[in-house]
Amino acid sequence: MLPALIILGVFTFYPIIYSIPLAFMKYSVIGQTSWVGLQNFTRAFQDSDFWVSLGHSAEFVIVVPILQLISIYLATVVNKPLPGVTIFRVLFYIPVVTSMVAVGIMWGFILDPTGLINTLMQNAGFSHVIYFMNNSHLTLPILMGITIWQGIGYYMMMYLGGLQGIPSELSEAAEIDGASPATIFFKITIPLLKPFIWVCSLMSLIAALGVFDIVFVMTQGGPNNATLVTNYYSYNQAFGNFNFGYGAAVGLLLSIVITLFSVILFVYQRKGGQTHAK
Amino acid sequence: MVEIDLNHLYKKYADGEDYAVKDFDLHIKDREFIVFVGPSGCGKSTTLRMLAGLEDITKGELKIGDKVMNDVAPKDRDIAMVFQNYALYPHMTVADNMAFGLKLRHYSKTDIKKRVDNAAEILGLEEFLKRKPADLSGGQRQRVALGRAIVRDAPIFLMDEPLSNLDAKLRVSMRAEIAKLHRRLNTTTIYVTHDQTEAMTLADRVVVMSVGQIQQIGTPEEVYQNPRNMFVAGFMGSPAMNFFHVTYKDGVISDGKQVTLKVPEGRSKILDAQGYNGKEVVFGIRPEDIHSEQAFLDTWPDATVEADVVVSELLGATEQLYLKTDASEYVANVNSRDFHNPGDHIKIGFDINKAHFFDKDSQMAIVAEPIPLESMD
Repeated sequence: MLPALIILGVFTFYPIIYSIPLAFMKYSVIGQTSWVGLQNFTRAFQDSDFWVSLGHSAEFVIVVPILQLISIYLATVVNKPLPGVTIFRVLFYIPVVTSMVAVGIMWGFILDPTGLINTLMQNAGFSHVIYFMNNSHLTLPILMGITIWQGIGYYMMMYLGGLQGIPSELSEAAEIDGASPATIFFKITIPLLKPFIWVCSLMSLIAALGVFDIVFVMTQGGPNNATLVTNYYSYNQAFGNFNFGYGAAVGLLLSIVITLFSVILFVYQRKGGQTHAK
Repeated sequence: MVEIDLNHLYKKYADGEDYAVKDFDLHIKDREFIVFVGPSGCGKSTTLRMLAGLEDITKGELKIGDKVMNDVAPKDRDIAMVFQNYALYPHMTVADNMAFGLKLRHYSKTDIKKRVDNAAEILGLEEFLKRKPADLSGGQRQRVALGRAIVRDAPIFLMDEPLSNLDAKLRVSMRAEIAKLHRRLNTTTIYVTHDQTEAMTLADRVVVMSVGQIQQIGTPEEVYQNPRNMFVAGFMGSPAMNFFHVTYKDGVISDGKQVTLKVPEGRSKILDAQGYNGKEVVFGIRPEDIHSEQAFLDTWPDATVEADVVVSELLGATEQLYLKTDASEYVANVNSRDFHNPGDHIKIGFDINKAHFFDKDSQMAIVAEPIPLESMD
């Protein structure tokens, strides 16, 4: 226990806690570190890049409902006792356990001007080359798409667990009651999946607002800030421009936004969850 | 009027080697209370599920009324079903649970309310209508499940072990309620259970099953009094019938040791006529046909043996004695006035007039006229 606690303390708890006072400082690696009060925060509110990054992070939240819908659908598909269904479950899960760097490189190959998609399109007769990763209209949706692709397996497994907790007798009873498969899905399955939908949505919301690694690996916020998200901006300010204090302040603001959304969702879920409590 | 014909039904699961149900052939009359009874894995639930449409029929024909139902969806079979685990929708109130099927069938709001209230009144659920299943006890949940079945006025009720999740006392009272409900609603009911007491007490006719096959069909009395084979004899009745492997010779059965008993003339004639003289047979006797009262022992001195009491269980009016004579162990149900303690060495008498004889190999009952699979009436 102790070694784990020490490692966790040094590399996780200490940096998290230290980032809070850091946000109120002008930190210098070699020079004088000074207390600057709210200066980092006022700077953020006046910093258009910060607002741009926050907007992109908010846009990223679009992945949440899409991801949940696809995952629920796939979970119902792989929940059926079809032959070879385990293989499908594994296939959908592979992206989850693949490292983000590998994912980034792979999608880089696929989307490259000379990559898989462009080659296929050219073979099909298109003369136009699409520069996926240089098109500022396309890059953010592409990153969102990759995030969805990578997350499906994880959430599918969560929902599969939820579905398997619903006794098959319930749908049989509904079937005899006269329910169609669609009615069973919407009137029985979905209401009983609700606790899972809340938890998965919350986790996925937190991940979306805090998105970082896909941006870091694939675009570094580019092209032309089109994929600049707040977490990446915070990182870049701290470790790119060595504005540690400002970076920490931006990070802290993002944490506040995430906490706020989480609390809203959590409270809403408690209200809705009460009536469905088992 | 609804009659059900199960014509030589077979069921084989995709991953099963053998048929789970074999040649199930039964005609169910209108308003009849039929109980499928047998040990777990005997195919009784599978047969019920084929009837409900929850399981495909591999071979054979299912007719409800005049209509072949093999490929008809469950909802179009006009049945209502009660499940072992109640299968209540946990996110709906009691009232909504009962109303769900009616809403799907587009009944009017006032009609739904009338039917739900009526069912709630019959089942004593009025005060629970607004509650969720989680806030109900097991017995109340099962009542809701029954309510969900009765609101639809379906002409056929299917019940799959509806009482097996309830505790013993509740089971007895719910059993009586189901009997009452059937008398009141007069719905054709097919009831699955592994509990022979439920089968005996509820059924108009019992279908005894084992390893996917019907062993006997008859009224509870018929299958109890005239079991067709050793399986039915051993399964119906609690405690089970005692079996002794004996040799029959010249009007006497003997296990070679103490259990040597004279067979009454009527019975020995049948054994003789069927060529069992000098052969091994299985002698079966129910616990209640073994006596320890002095009057019986005095009247039938030829039918007594000495026995050691291994365990004695006082049940109130009767006492269950676990007895041992030489190597044979058996159970007797005697009047508790003649109480015996474990370790007692007592004399007991067999009422051989009530005995059953079975062929050692085919396990079929040895009787003058072979007992049909389904008794005709």
